[in-house]
Amino acid sequence: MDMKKRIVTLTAMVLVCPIFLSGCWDRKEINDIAFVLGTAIDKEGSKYRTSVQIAVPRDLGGSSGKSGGGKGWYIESKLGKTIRLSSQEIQSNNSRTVNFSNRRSLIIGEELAREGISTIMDVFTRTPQNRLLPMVAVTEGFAYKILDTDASIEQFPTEMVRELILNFTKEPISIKTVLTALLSEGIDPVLPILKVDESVPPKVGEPLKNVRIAGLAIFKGDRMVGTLKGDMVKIMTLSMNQNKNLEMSIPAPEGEGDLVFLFKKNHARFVPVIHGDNVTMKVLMHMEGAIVENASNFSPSNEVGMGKLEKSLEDKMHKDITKMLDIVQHQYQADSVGFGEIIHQQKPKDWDRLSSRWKDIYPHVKVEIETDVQLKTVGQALQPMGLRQEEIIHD
Amino acid sequence: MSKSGGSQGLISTSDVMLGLPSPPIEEECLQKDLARNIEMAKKIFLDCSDMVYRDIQVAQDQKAFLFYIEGIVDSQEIESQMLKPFIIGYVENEDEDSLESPQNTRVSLSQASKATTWGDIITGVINASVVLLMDGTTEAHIFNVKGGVRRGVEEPQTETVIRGPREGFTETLRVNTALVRFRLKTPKLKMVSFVIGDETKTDIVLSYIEGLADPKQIRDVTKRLKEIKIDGILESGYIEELIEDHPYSPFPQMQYTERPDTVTAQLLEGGFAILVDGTPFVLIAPVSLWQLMQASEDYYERFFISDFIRILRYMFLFIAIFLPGLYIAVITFHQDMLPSTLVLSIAAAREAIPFPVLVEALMMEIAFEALREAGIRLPKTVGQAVSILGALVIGQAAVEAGIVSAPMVIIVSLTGIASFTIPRFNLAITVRLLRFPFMIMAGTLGLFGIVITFVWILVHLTHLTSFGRPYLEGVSPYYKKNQKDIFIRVPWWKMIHRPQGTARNNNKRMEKGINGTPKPDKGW
Repeated sequence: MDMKKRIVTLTAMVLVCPIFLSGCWDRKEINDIAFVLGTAIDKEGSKYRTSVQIAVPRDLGGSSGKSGGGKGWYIESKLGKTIRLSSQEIQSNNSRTVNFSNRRSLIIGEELAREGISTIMDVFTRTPQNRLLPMVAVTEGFAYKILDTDASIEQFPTEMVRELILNFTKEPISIKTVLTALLSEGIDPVLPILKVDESVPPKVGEPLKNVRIAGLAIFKGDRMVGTLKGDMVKIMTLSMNQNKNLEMSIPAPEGEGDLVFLFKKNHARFVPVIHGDNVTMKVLMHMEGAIVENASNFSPSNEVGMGKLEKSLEDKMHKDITKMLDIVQHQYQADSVGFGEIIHQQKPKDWDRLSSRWKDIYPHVKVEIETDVQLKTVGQALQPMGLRQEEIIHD
Repeated sequence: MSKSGGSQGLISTSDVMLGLPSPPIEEECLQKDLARNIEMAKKIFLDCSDMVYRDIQVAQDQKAFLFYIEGIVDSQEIESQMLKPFIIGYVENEDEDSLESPQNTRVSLSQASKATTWGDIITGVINASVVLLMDGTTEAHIFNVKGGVRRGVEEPQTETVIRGPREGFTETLRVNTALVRFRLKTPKLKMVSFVIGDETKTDIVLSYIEGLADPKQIRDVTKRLKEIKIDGILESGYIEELIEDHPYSPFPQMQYTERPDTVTAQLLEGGFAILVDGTPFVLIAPVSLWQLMQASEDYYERFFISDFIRILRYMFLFIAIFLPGLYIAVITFHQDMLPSTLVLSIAAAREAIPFPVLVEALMMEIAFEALREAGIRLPKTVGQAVSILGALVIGQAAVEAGIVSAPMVIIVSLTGIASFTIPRFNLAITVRLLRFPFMIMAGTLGLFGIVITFVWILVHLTHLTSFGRPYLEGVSPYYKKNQKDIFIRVPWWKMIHRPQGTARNNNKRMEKGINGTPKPDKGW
């Protein structure tokens, strides 16, 4: 009995102690925290400008909140010698503890990107509060401009950025992806370029400021060396096996007008052939898709017609990929597709030999491209719908 | 009330016993003089207004005296089987001299005995017997004519089922034993009788199946029951607290049930049951934590449904214990853990709330417990008013006034619902109690506090026993064979063995599993 009493007393003491000893020292109510939703970083002279988008819960319309009519967020922007120091400046301006764990996206200004991003990555990975999941993007011009857009379809502009990037590639480009690319020798990072875009031209109505992905920033090492724009963006993501829904158009092989295709399945396979320092990269591009719009008077009503379409698509792909690889390989000399990484994985022994000289070898890698396009699931809807039989050119 | 059924009954009107003098009277014998015996009887049962005394003339020169307690005996039976025969017999055969043994000649009641001491007579009277004293003899005749109005067999109030027997135990011990006996038609079903309570003399029956129950355990329970010395047993809860292994544990180590089928199932698994007169709640033991999470319906519905519901129940057990604590911990310490949109909407909802989450949660949980308690005690008609008040005041108004946040209301109500999914009320109460240490620890130490509390409870559970059987039996210690009836229930044709821990001597339920799927007939 005495023993039992002692056990009970001890347990009670042990249980009560933390309540009084700890004093809840880490306690921080959710309303004592300022949630940073996105960070934009620019270089100004030798200093960093950190701009953060901070949520204002009062304006988010909780159950008891009479929404104050605010946007639900505001921006703070401070200069500092390092990013951490500029964040501290932001903190000293804020009655609530700034918390970075819910950062949705990290936006890097062009100037900073051209100077190199490896030095700034540290602060986004070091403390556990920082997740590796924020989406990363580069802007044309200053990064903070993206934060102050309307992006009215999402709650916050940074959320819009996040969703845009999530939909852009199969494997979203987050801090984690960027770090992986930065740290491995055989691949250089590629980041989407964001641009502020007006939703409508002024003649249509009052424009809202929107965000769009306007291209791809090509990095060599940690420095941005150039951009890809227009069709080349699709071809690049396709070569990286990252394209989600590729839409492409070609002029009709016979007759007039264009046809648009949607490729839901696409796969690029790379086979390195290595003789000494001569590296040849075979690119095997396989695509399966369907016609989504036939704006021509050509009707591919049988295999021959389909074959013609497939042939011209294959030719177009061949041309485009060659062009794209030419730009990154010779103009920018950036291994964006990750040829080095492919050799590393498929021929590790050769890679051990080549890796130290990869930067010199890469521009001389020969590329052989094979494309295989298959059009499927056309069903019965072969002919252009709005044309009479005699207007249609059959293959 | 069957005549052969009962031998002893209970009457606990304390005024019966108040006039009782100290032991010597109980040992005192009857006198030959009827008048003195009558005087004695009236003295013993002084001020017992429910006593009935009746003089009768059984023969020309022989008087008799008859007394019993009204209400607990079957008066009609006495009238037709005792008074009538005596009076008619007296009229018909006046020369009769064989009245030495009236139970053989006149009285057609099956349960008859003789007594010579006042102690036996008192026992008889309070156990619903009629005592017949005859002039000139020192022997009293005692006829048991148990009767009186008690509740009949009704549907159990606390354990309703959609599918399954609708019979529930009643307050009458013999009805209860019969309900079990109806289901177990074997002489191996033992019903050992005890009388506990100096004043209440409550009849208690320890029931088990010979050959299935562990004899050591039965000896142990018998010993524990015999050691009870108390003035009264009014409910099986008294027994439960007096004989359980760990009285300081918050976890129930015995299960109570109103359902004869549950008792039968327990007996068939090698356990035992304690039936107490005066309450419909029968205790069954040994139990494990898993058993308290089972409902009788689990075994009656098809196994897919039972499995789904059982898994659901375990999920909600988890919610009932952890949810408020987790919410507090996450909101006060680990905001990083939540998805951004969720954390922002919670922050938005909490923006105007004046209290810290812990205070808010404690307030709401305590209010909820009070509401529940108020609902139970109130008459049904008023109960509705309570639920309206509760829903309006605590739910809506508090949120609108900005005193409590809406997420907190969701958490509290979800926790409340979760605790109602636990099929055993005593375990549900334990879970509700344990929620509070979790909440306080979560509010002071965050997830770390939750882990500490959980480990503490786990350590407690692993060394907890119910009549010597581990409380987590089947999982810790791990028995592979028991897995078929812990988190899931396998179909009956796979339930070949009894649980390994309890029915060790005879652990096969059936010879081999029968799968009813018909084999394709060759003729087809």
